[in-house]
Order: sequence, then structure tokens, then C-alpha cells
Amino acid sequence: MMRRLSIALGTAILATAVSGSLAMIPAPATAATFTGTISGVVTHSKTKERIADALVVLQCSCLQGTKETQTNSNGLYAFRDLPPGTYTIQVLSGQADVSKIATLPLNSKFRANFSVDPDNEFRRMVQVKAQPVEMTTSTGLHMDVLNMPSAGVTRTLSTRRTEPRLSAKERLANHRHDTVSERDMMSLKETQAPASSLPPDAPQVDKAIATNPISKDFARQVVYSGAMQLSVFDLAKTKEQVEALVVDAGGYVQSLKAQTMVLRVPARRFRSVSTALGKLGRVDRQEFEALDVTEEFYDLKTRIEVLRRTQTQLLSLLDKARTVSQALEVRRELDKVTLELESALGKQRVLAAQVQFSALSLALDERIPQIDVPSTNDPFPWVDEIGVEGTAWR
Amino acid sequence: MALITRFTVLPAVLPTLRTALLTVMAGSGCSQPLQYESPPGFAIAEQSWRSAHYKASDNVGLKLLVFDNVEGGTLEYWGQDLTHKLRARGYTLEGQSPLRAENKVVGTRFDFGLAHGDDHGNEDKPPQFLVVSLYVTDDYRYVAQLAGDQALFARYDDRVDQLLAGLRPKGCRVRSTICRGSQPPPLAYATPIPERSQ
Repeated sequence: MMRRLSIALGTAILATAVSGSLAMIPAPATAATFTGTISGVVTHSKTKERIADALVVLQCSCLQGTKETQTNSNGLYAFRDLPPGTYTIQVLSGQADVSKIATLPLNSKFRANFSVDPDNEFRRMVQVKAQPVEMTTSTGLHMDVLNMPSAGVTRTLSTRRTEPRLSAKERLANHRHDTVSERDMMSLKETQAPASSLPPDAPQVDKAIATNPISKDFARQVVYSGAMQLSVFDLAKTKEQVEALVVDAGGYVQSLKAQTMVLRVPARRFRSVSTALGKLGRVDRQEFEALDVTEEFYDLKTRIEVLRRTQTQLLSLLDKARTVSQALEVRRELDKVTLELESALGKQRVLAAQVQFSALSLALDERIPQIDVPSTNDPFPWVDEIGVEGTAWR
Repeated sequence: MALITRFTVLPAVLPTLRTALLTVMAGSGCSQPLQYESPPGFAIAEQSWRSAHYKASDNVGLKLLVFDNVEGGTLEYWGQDLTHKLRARGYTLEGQSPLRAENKVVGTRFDFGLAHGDDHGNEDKPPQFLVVSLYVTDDYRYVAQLAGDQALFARYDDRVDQLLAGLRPKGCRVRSTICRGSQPPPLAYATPIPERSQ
């Protein structure tokens, strides 16, 4: 009896040990492939119609760069094969600029629907936890999250409607008065895309100023530049069109050579101008760069203020000088400070011009082949295969 | 027991069934962009997935080529590209007229002439004709070419429509503006571009 009992006990212990060890064996690694999905629909908040061609930008530190897409004719968008992480989904349509922040668990589906009013400026930012099945946020945004066990809004970070349209300065002033907690500021920081590869457009530049944590004290200063290469049919005509386009946008042609042009375009029109330029031919290459000079800009500003104060003090000292030697000594210092101040002011002017006017290098290639058989530089060498040489039967 | 077997076996069989269905679809030519039967009077010289070459007894050749289209590529765009490049290669555009395939895809017919000869005007072979019919869909560009000695052009001029009757360009998406796009502007050049010095 005792033997049977000990055998049964031994078997039970063995079974427990085996099942325990089996449970500890990790599942086959599937981390290399992610199947997370973020999708949704963008609708007009007033007419309830679905909005086509709205720009949807996805940002996450878990991605290399940003992802962007446009809504289709049914107002739908989708990002697939996403790794887990905290994502900012930003929708830009007309004047509307709405962002949502959500945490996407591994290989989950997340649905974020947006209701926007493209006719009025409307900037909102909402943080949600990617766990609810369906919910309505405190801002009235309808949101569905599929395949998640529970529901709940974490919190609303900030919701601001700015009507009528305010200038960037006024918005900055408003932003300073916003009662946003320290923790919220951290989350807002996540919504920034400081190294965004996108060229600026007016709403984006304003957004960078209005939502940047740095903007509590300073407005962000960014120098945008870009390079484009276009293949065109008629070189001379295209050059004229480019010049007209840039002048219309308030910019100017800095240099004009046989097949290259350097254009200076107001930063707020940079994106629309580069898009319009792309329509003049086939875009073979396009690169945009954003250089953040905020630190340099405000260092310079502070230095100018200090130098101005020093200059004022030296001028008052000059008035108080009793002897010629005292006056000469103060004068020498004053000259030094004035020279330094002029130099700093010059640098500030150059920097401000760089921020205000973006530089765009444009290289134009004529699409007529230079030799009988189109060269390898031809973007479309398909006609190589066409002609009597290969068709007429011999 | 039978129920258990049925429910156990079905999920396992489904992927196989799907693969078989896809294989049958591919085999039947559902995904093949070029489906064209040799026209009367022509023999097949060469045929592949995206090209077909036919010959007539009088040395006139008919060649069909299919290229991928790119985003934004329209009939107008590719018509200009084609005429510019052929013009640079010594072809003279002599005529241009609109076409419409059986499945309503619009196209353009370009009639070219090619005069052979050296710099001194000595011709080593008779001039030739080249009729290029171009169709552009969202996914593909279809080019049908008919070429031969210029003296034979009159014999084939009226037969182009008949030769292209069996061609049904594929790759049109729903509510496509490419497949029913506008015609290229008149591109009639009197003379080819003189060869550029290197």
C-alpha cells in the first residue's frame, strides 16, 4: 500500500515537474515579423461625409522615420506590419490638424477614427490606450479598438480650437498660458517630429511652434533645404515655369545655370512649391532636410541683448569720463563692443533669412535622349525596344 | 466520428485547395497581361509572357510589347515620350490618330517613316514604315508595332484596326481615368531632329 502510494506520489511529482518545465519553454520566436495594424476612417465633423486624400502621418520611436499615407476615396487609411510601441497618428486635412497618441501591443489591431473639420483650424491631441473595444472620448471623438480586452481613455492631453485663425506668435502666447502638467508635456514631446523628413508647410511650421515644449520659452527655428531632380521635355519652357512659380510664391531665383537652378522659397510655401515643381516633369530624385538652429538662434539673440546692454552702459560711462585718457579707454571698449554687436546682428540677419527662405536646388534633365540609342541616364529606356529594327522581319 | 473527421480534415485541406485554385487561375491566363492570337496572314515567330512577334510572307513584322506603367503615366505622357525618342532616332512622324480597343481602352496610333542612309545621302536599303499603336492602362503600357518596307505600307494601312481587333489591354482599375484618358496633343514633326554632336 505504501509502495503504491509512494509510486503515485512520485508520478504526480514527475508530472508536475514535466508540465512546469514545459511551461517554461519559450514559444517559438516570432518577433522578427510584426503584424500590428492601425487603421481607421476620416470623416467630416459637420457633414459626416468621408474625407478622401487626407494626409495621415504615423510617428513612433519604434519606427525608422515616419510613415505616411492618404485616405482613399472612402476616407479609409491603414498602416500594416507595425511593431509594438507608442504611436502618434496625425491627420491633416485642409485646416484641420488632429493627433492621437496610442500604445499598440504586439501584433494587435488598432482602429482610430477621426472626425475633423477641414474648413476651420482645429488642432487637437488625444492620448488613448490601445485596449478598448469601442469608446467615445471626452472630446467627442469616436474611437474603436479591435481585439482588445477592455476599454478606457487614459486622459485628454489638450484640446484647443482656435477660431478665428491666430498668428504663430499669438498661438505661442496662448500656449504659454495653457495649464499642461509636467507629465503631459512629456507626452506632447513624443508627438513632435523634430527630425521629420517632410518639408514644411504652413500648418506644420505653426504646429512645431505651438506644440513644442521648447516653445514655452522659445519658438523653434528650423532651416529647411532641399534638392530635386526633374526630367522634362522642354528645358527652356520649364525654366520659365519654375521662375514664375517661385516668384508667385514670394520667392526668388538665386542662381540660374544651364540645367541647374537654386531657388529661395518662403519656408511656409516650401512644400506647396516643391509639389508644384514635381508636376512640371518626372521627379527622379527628391531630398529634403531640416536643420534645427533654435539653440544657435537664441544664443545669438541673448548675446545681442548683452552686447546692447554693455553698449548702453559704456555710453553712460563715456558721458561720465572726466579725463581724456578715461574717455579714450571707454571709447576703445565701446568700439570693440559695437563691432561685436554688428557682427552678431549680421549673423542673426543671415540666420533669420535662412529660416524664412528655404533653399531648393533644382536640377533639370531634358528627356530627349542625347544620342541615337537612349543612354542609361534616360529615366524611361522603354523606347529602346521599339522601332523597325526589332519589328520588321528579315 | 465522421463529423469529427470532417471538421479535422477540412482546415488542413483548405490551404491546399486555395493553392490549387490559384494555380488553375494562373494556368488559365487570368494574370497574363498579353493574350493575343496570331492574326490572319501572320505566323508566330516568337511569343513570351509580355511580348509576341509575328511575321508575314512579305517581310512585314508585327510585334506586341507590354511594359509596366508607373504612377502618373498617361497616354498623353507616354505618347510624347515615344514620339520624342523615336524622333531623336531618325523617325519622322507622319500621322497620328485615336484608337479604341474592344474593351473601351483608348489608344493612339502613330505612323512613322524611317529613311536609311549615310551622311552623303547614299541609301543602303529602302525606306521603311513603322505604325505604333499605344494603349495605356493603370498597370501596363501596350505597344503594337507594324513595320516593313515603305512600298508595302498601302497594303497594311487599312488593316491595322483589323490586326489589333483581338488585343484587349488589361490593368484598368475601377473608375480609371488612365484607361479613358485624353489623347496626346498633335505631335506631327516634319523632320527628325538632326543628330547631336557628342
